[in-house]
Amino acid sequence: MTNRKYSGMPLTKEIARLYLGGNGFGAKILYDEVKPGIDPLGPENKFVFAAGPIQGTMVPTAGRSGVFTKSPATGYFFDAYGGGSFGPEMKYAGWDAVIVEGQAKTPTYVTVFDDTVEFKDASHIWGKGTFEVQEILKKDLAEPKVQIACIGPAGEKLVRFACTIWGARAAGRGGNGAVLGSKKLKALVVRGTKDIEVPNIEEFQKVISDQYSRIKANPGTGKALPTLGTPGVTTTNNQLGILGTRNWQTEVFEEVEKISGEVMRSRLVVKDKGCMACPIYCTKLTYVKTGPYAGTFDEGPEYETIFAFGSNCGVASLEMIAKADRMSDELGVDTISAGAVISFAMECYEKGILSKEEVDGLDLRFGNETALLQLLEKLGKREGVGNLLAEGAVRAAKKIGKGSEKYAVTIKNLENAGHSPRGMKGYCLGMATSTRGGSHQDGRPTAERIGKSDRKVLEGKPEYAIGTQRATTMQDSMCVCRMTEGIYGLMEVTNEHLNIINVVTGMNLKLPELVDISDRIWNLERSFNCREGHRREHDVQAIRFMTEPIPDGPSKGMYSPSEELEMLKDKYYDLRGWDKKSGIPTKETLQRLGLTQQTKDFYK
Amino acid sequence: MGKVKVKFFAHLRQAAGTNETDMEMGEGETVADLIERLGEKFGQDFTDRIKDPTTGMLAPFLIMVGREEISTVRGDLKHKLSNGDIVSLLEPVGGG
Repeated sequence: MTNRKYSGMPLTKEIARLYLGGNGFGAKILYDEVKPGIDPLGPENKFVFAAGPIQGTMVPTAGRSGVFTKSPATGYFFDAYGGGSFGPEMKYAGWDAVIVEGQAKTPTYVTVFDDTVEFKDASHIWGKGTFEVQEILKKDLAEPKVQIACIGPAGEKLVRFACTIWGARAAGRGGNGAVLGSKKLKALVVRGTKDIEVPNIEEFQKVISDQYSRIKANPGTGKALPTLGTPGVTTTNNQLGILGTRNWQTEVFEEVEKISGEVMRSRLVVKDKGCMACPIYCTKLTYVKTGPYAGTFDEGPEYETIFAFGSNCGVASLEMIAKADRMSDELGVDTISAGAVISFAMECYEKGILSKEEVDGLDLRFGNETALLQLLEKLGKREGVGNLLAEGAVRAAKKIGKGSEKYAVTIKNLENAGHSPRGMKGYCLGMATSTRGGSHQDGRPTAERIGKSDRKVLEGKPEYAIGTQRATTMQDSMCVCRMTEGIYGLMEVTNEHLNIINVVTGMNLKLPELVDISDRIWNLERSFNCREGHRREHDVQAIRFMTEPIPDGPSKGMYSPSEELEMLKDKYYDLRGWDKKSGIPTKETLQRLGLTQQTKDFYK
Repeated sequence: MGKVKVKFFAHLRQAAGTNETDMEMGEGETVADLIERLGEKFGQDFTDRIKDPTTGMLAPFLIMVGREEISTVRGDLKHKLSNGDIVSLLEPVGGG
């Protein structure tokens, strides 16, 4: 970006075989090319857009792709993914990954049309919301078929939970949008006209046709998600007593029926929508017909957003949640962190830690819809108290003091997503030991929530955490959608992953090799973080989850005491091959996985 | 034996056309029996939402009897029901 220059290099078979794509490419590039200790919002950070091997094919859910960078929220490696069609278009242009480095002097957007790359002035779209930006650029370029990844005002203002938007999809978490903002890259526009080939088209069609049939027959992917989408999880979590409510002060929301997926379907949903190559159609387009938010048209909200702006802020209005979701997309903020920061501020306000004057006169009680929406606008633009809170809950708490730190419900400085570490022991450990911290996409809650694993017991949970992390790393390197996790395997890398990868790439991998790929990528991420100073003592849960039992409901009494977590970590580190004292991968582990540079870096 | 109240969640409400229903159950009847009866009462669409039609196997999900959680894949579906039990069928879904 600094000198408006670009260059291309081929993807080698060796890199493809060792790192596969997506998550793997992001981890490899960032470890190799980003020095430890650099400012995530400085010129030395890099931002990677990467697709997996399946993008551009008709493998079910092949619309997905990811972004990878050093996070301004956590200070660690971060990966975020979105659906839609951006990744395939990048592949049709001939690129598996686009690496953005340096910092432009003035607002810029970049076009990648097959092999032609141009840097263009973005001053006319700087300050605009993400949907308006995409409309303007399509008209400017007279190319309605382009795919555009862009940031909103939040990214420009370096909000630490700003995101990247393409279409109406968000690569939401970790403040990745702020990294693009720091580089003054307003948008990356791609258009591709090349083909993607597979080694044996008949075999490929047979394999994906079989998977397609199983997706349609499976009750989760064939019925549940098409009917309600992820919002169906809302009442399920509440019934189990694990729905975050009022900044996780409790986990049962008394007004859950007003914000359920069922009610959303009947009152707001106007159409089902699928991403490219996806037969599930989990996305719900919604329209608010009446009331103070009438006229709101939204793609969503998803479950995480319903939790974040709904139960966790004490709000019982789906219409307001849809409005907040739409605002978040246009501002370019992560709904999970935005909602969590607002709920943090609400608890501080109700407990007298923040006065009305300190929050710009807002009556920030839980449930106040007007105040929530006003604060969201301020957050996205860093206005007034929004400037403090745009730093994220942990940094804001440090400045506020007065004991507010314990109300920042974060793991590794990332605000907790909509699933309960207190209520699910395996998920709790999976998060505590993860690269990203407060994300629900490293360790996973699903297998415990649907009863494949007993959420209340400790036995087998180190194995559970590792298995789910292996599965998510593999899915993210292929860039398949998480909605297919039940098809691919919730708790391990399986022949389902293998068959798809082999029929697309022709690499003829074996299952143990695939597990090694997953472990290699996970250990590369871990190495990145340890190089930044991460150690065992940082693999912890949010203070609230380690010290406050769930006060009521079906999961009353559950929490994650420190001694329990440390005991689980001992076993987890053993199985992972990490040093028990430091949490750094051992020399043997790094050597086994062929991580030669990392071996040198930690064991000179 | 008596009656149990069955509560549906998420898309199972659409399939059943109701949030809850009362089911007459006989002496010694179990959760497995209840599931079969629900399929008979609410039809094929309901059954296809809790069983994979290609395998005939129940999808993995939790059934709560009171606050006790029974997994369809791990737990004991021969759990005997009692008069007045409240049985919650939670949805089988990943993602989110």
